[in-house]
Amino acid sequence: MTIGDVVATFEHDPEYCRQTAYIETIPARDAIYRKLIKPLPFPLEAFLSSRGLSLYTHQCDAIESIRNRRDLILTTATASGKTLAFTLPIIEHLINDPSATALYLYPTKALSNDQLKTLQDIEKNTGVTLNPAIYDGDTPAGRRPLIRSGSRIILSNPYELHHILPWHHQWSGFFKNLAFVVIDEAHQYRGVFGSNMAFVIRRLRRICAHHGNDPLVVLSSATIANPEDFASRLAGKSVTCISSDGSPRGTKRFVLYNPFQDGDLSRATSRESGKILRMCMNNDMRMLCFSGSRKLTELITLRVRDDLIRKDNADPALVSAYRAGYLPEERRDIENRMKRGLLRGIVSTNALEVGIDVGCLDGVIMTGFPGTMMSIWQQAGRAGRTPAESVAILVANQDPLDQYFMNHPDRFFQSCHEHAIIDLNNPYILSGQVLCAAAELPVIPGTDDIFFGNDLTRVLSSLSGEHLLSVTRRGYIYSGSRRPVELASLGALSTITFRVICNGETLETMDQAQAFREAHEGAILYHQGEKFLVRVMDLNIHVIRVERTDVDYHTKPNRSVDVRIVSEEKNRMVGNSRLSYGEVSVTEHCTSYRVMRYDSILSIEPLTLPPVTFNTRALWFVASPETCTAIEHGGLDLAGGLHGAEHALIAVMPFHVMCDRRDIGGFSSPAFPGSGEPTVLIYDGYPGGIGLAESAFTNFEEVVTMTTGLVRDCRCEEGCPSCIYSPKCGNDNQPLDKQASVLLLESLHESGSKRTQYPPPRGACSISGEGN
Amino acid sequence: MISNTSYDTVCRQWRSKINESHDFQVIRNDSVFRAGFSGASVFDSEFRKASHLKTVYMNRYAGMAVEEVFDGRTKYTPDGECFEITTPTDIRISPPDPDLVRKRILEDLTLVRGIGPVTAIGLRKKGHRTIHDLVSHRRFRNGAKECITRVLEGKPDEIVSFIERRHSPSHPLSVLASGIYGCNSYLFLDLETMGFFSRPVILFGIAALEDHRVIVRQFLVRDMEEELPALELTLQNLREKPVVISYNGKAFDIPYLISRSAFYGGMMDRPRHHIDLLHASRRNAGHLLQDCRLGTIEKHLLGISRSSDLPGSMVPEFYETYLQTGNPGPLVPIVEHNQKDVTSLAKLLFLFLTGEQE
Repeated sequence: MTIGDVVATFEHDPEYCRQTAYIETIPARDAIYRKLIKPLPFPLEAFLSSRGLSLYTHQCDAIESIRNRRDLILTTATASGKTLAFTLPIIEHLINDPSATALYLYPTKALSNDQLKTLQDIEKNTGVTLNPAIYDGDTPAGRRPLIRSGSRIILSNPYELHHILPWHHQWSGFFKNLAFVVIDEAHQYRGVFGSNMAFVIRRLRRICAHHGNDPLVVLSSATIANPEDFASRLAGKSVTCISSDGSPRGTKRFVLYNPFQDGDLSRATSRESGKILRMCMNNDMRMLCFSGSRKLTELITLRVRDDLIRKDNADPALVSAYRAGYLPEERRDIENRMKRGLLRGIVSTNALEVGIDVGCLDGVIMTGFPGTMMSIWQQAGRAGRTPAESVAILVANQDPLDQYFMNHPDRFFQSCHEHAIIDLNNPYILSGQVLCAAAELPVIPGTDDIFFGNDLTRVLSSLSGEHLLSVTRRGYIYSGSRRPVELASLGALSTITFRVICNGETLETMDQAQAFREAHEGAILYHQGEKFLVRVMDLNIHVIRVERTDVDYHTKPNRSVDVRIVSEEKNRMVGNSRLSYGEVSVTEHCTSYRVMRYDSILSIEPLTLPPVTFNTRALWFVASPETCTAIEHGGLDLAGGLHGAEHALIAVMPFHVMCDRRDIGGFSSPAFPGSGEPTVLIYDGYPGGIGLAESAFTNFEEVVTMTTGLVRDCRCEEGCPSCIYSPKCGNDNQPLDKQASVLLLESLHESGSKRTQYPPPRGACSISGEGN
Repeated sequence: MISNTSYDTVCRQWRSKINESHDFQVIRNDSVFRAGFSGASVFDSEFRKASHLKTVYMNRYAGMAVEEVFDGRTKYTPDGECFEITTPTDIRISPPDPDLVRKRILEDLTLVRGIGPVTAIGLRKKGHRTIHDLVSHRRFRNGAKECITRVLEGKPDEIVSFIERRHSPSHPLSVLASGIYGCNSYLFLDLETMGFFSRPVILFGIAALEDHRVIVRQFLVRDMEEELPALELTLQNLREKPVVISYNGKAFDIPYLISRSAFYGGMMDRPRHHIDLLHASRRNAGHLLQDCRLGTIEKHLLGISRSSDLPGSMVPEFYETYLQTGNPGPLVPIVEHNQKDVTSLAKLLFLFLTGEQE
């Protein structure tokens, strides 16, 4: 059987074709090679020819850029040889300058382990002494001094670097000679984590500058809409992007599959996904199936095994689940069984999405939109890594973005719109990082603005007002009594944070607002796909105690949100409305929660939590009087229209501003407190803001065009979970008015362009009918 | 543009985050079973006593300036000024006579090449009490002669490194060997800091011997600006004396000075000869005691019991109160605590050198 047969099944088989929304063929591409004008040093050239490797154009671009000491970001496809592209010129430099060193940073320990092997392999086969070594929390104390003094390439992670920097005097040899900082998987450094990381890099560069050194920053990332801007913010200096990809690619057939195409809402995405997996396996394909959670992974595996026995009389061992935390040997075993055909299907959580190579796959199935287009392409890229034909199938959920792509496949295959956001102005992150820096070397206002921005002087003065910093002749120095790197965590904003504890083990930390929403007493909390019941929430010591549970209900808080505008920082006209951006004060109050089984409410339980108030950044717009009149004349509900538009905008925003739906909050009112005007407001769910609303303010036209399409083209009559319903609405999705939402959203378009930009949805029939 | 008030609010949250959490653990009901092994813990009763102490001192010294509370003087350096408090203390034991020390060193037969602990016992049974007795021994004659020349004619540095090659630096003989330097060579060192590393030093306590007196000199950081001058003065003193004596200084005080030096862009070398009395005390009495804090060792070996002493781990909190209020009261117990620590170093050293107690 071939890929073509599987695709034909989607096109013609009555069991599948009605749900097939669209099939795209992404054509094959041949490799484009180039020769370097100045060849690499002998050991490296010999290494390449012994492996039969020739350099792709983008690899040559990267080598030349590094040779010319230009900071760069590589955004070519998965498996296009990015690591080699920057490692070759780095080793070339280390050969030419025997004292030079390099630091490779990876977001996870597993990734640094994989890369260490690659580097050791190069070292062994080239004879260049690099002593590559991992230096992280697992490195034994006895080995540390030797690594610091003897390794020329050190692999680490942001958390470790954050803790190393105050000890820079022990690293003076390494930092003085640090020629390269490599930031791999850079797209993972976005949001709160990324914004902190940006300052960790600046602190590293400040210490290097103290030693008279300025290392080159080399980044690699998945495709994002703003690689240069993002990389420059992360690195703190201007970075050029290399994106034209010279690596070969096989033809890929991409199937958009919509179980809800015919309006039958009784179908379950995971069941459909399992069915497709089995169909592909029966067609002799080797498949990888992604699912959103561990639980679903197991469910799909079980069901497929069951059906293999009952319906196909086949070996159930042909399919296996893959969980995070597998050992390298186990991975190799799975890979070998896959190669030998003993295994034809792997069901996995997103653990396999990044970096790790299973190889030899014919196709990938994605159970629901994984949240970002970046993940879509990373996951789809798992198959067909050798230039052979492959298939990728996205099985849609009922959620708005899933359904939007099913109705607008052209948008799905368009160039990337996702902006990776780094916010250098969040006052919590900035002040926390300045505290850390002031414990490393005195911070000098003016001089150090290049690292910490123009607000540095004001941050310094606020911090010294609390005696956390003190002024000395050498600059501001840290004078608190706690270790600042422990106060300022990289993953969360350093406000009041709650620790979620299960059997003495900390599962996660969350800020107060999130904790009140999701982890109040009695709540069912989801963590990595598992369910936990919250037993105790201790407001004094900020601890939440949970236990594993298997109940069949879930909980939703009833929440009132109150917003006050603190200051409007900028505004502009969109359509006939005024769009604003600025600082707001948000008060969230969880008053009770609903216990729900599926969509029915079992009971409503009271809560006695205090309201939470925080300042953040938001965008907002006021519906114009004409629009309000139009809504009124149509006999529609203004409040419902504003509320629906708010939900839909929040649903669409992650496609433009990379974030989770949970990261943004909304507020709408026909009479906004203070102004009395009909307003929709969308805010960053983090104290101080994290740049999401600001980016959406800049790209608002894009966001609103897509939102309009989403709501207008949804098949439902009065709104549904695929358009204006929100799963996290604190008001139980009341009131909503779909028609009014459409009118309101259309009024935000530039006049005249509102209906011409995107065609109405294409039905599946027109596609599956093509072959008839 | 972020408003100034917004930065102030955020910074207030940092402050309360620090105030909410201590760097040490308060042990409820003084239960020794809850006490960790890290040492960064304070018993409940100690904690409450110290908190009370802080209030007492703050009431007593409210409205006074640091200079009125302590009998000291301002020291001027190229990097700025700091405050020096000098306290002489008489001690009634005499430092060891270097010649006597050399003699005692030569009682250790294992210093001779080829003699291990077992051989030494055998030799002693046969009447060879000192290395001098081996000068006519057929087998060890040459080794013994070499040893005697080294110990009697070598410079102190050479003798010490000769002994440290045979034994570990915490070996009683290595400690004893430091007696050769003579009492003008010692610098006793103890720092009070804002915590474990990457925070400022707030009090540099050093001491030297003059006749039968321990002269404690403390460089007090009245304002963070004074840390660098105080650090420079301390380093200058360290450079002048060949032997540094500390308690846990190999792991704490010296690395701390090195890192603070690096913080200000300087370089500091490790001292040539450093005796860490923690290691010597641990060898001496560690097996008898529940911990080896200086206070515990003092009580056991010197019979000193401090009645109203500040637990060392609460120093940062006291100092922070001073920084925030400007009331010098909380500094008083810090300075006194440090004074006692430094003085105890001298007493402990002499105990190990001579076996005599005050």
